[in-house]
Amino acid sequence: MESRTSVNFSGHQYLRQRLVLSILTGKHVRIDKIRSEDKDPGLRDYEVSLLRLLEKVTNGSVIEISVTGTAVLLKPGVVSGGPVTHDCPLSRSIGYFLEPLIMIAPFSKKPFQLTLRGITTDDNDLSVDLIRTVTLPHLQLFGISDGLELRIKRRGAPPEGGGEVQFLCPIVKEVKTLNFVDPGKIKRIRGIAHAVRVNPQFSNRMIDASRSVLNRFIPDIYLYSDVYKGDESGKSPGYALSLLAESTTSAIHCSEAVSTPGETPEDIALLATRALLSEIRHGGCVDRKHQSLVLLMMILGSEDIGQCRMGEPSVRTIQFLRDIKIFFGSVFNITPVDPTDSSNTELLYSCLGTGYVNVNRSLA
Amino acid sequence: MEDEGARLLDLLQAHGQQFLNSFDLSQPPRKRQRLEESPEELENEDFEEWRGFSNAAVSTYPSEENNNDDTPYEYDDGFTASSSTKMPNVVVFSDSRQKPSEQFSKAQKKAFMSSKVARVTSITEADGTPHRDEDDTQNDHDDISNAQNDALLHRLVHTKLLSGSLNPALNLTHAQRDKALSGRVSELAGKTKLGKGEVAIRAAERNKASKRVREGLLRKKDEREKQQLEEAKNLGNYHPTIKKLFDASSGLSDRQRRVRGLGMGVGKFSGGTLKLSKEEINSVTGRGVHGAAKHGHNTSRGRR
Repeated sequence: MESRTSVNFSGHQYLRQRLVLSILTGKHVRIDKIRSEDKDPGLRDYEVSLLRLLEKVTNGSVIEISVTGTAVLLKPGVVSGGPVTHDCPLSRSIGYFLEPLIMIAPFSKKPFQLTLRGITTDDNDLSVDLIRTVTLPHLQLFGISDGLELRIKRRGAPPEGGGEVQFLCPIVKEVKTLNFVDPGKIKRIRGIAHAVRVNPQFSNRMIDASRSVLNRFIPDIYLYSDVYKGDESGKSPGYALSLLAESTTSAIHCSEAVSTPGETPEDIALLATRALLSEIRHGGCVDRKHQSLVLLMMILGSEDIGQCRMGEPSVRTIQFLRDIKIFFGSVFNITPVDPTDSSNTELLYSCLGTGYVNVNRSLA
Repeated sequence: MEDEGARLLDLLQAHGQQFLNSFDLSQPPRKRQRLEESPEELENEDFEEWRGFSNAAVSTYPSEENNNDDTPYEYDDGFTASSSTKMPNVVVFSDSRQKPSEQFSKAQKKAFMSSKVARVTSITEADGTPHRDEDDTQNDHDDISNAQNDALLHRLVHTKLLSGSLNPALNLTHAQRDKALSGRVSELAGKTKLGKGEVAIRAAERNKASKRVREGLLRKKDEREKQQLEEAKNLGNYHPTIKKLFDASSGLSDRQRRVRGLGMGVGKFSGGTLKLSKEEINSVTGRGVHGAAKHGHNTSRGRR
């Protein structure tokens, strides 16, 4: 689908998804009026760093940024992959940079061996724990599983960071069609509590507080306490709790909470637990944070009808669907699962895949 | 002395009363009766002997200032069974450890926390299945496998293992067939290395001959092998990596394990230090395995 047409957007929002769609389709994308009326106009440092990372990961892409930084043009090249190292700035966590790369990693020329350094757990983006236990298993639904790894070498809490992760992703020729319509019932809850450079009892306290709420629902709850010591614990203190609930049909819902100054670990745990329960309440087979990834993989699937049952789309997902229509030309057919039952807000998303084939992959 | 003791008991009782007054207990009438009875008993007691709080409380009851008749308190005199209608609110702060789940979830924890995503999602299979009794099934498996092994051995012996020499296309003489069969049998018995059975048989046969015959045969063998090596080189079939094939006469393949160093008995000497392991030290000092056996001096035992 190489095309020399250019797509124009304005505004800094949804920047990552637009860049990803541009790389996948090969269309040039031009984004202007980036924070043009802001006190600090133009691209932020983490956005520039993301563009640099995309440049490292692809071959032949041209990125032009205007003088003031309020406009950027991306002429995407071929995703090459291989061993890449990148130091992420301390203004956003590694999850911010890893999410768009997860979307393009299966379609690269060589398997990704990406090392990112920076902040691993943040309240703004998905933490590396959730990426490893929730986001990457969603890729397994599409047939990308053998050799998929995320190694957390060190943890880094804000503001100083000091974390390091290594992401390994295999390459696939094409993505399988998804047919995921049964959310099932929640059968187990798992969680990871970690505390770096603080009293190690904090993770135990978080686990106890979280269990006090969750124990009454199902018996199979296990919250693991992840211990990193010394150099591997980063430069700043912090603690966080990540929870995920898995259903009988392996649908995963997740939530997390990160420490802030002045809050007790029990507060953080209750925050995460209640967020998990509200996420489960939204229902569906995919939780709200991963709707974009699943929808993208459905569009890139083989030329067959793919179906997935999810809750209501978030604002980001709605814009993503619009951008998919602009880049790929395909639309999703969204129907309520149960039209008669008005309290059930789950929707069935179906689409015809575009049959995207990874032509970059080196066959040797 | 009495006053001091009484004063301290007063203080203690006041403190206790204050604490218990924070609970709302309402049983005035019964308490009154009991308290009225007991002062009479106490007159006979020796005040220097302390008999517990109940008596002390009773004895100082009239002198109590803070004591309101409206809110009496319960005290444990150790004799009467208390039957209060209101139990205090008991809150247990316990360290809730998950003991039973630790057993099966160690493997699950390793799988969940591993960096390989395939292992993270594979924990759906490892769901704490109870261990079946392994010993019973082990014996059954042994019996079955022994019978199966017997049948397999019978089949192999009569078809494949020994019949390499029976192939009519080779045109072997009776002597050659005989030696091939006995070589093969010694290989199967484990006496020789695989492939070298016949060679060993022929070498043994050669050793039976006289010295001149033996030496002559060996010389002829060497010549033949040199000839073969030259032919292979001429034809282009030779490569240093397959030297072993053309080197069948050398029986010194054990040269690879040449002992290095001086080997002074115990320990390893390197970098200026002698490195000893625990077993070596124990063997020198004569303790360790047999250390518990001879704590007494058993000098007579060896003598007889």
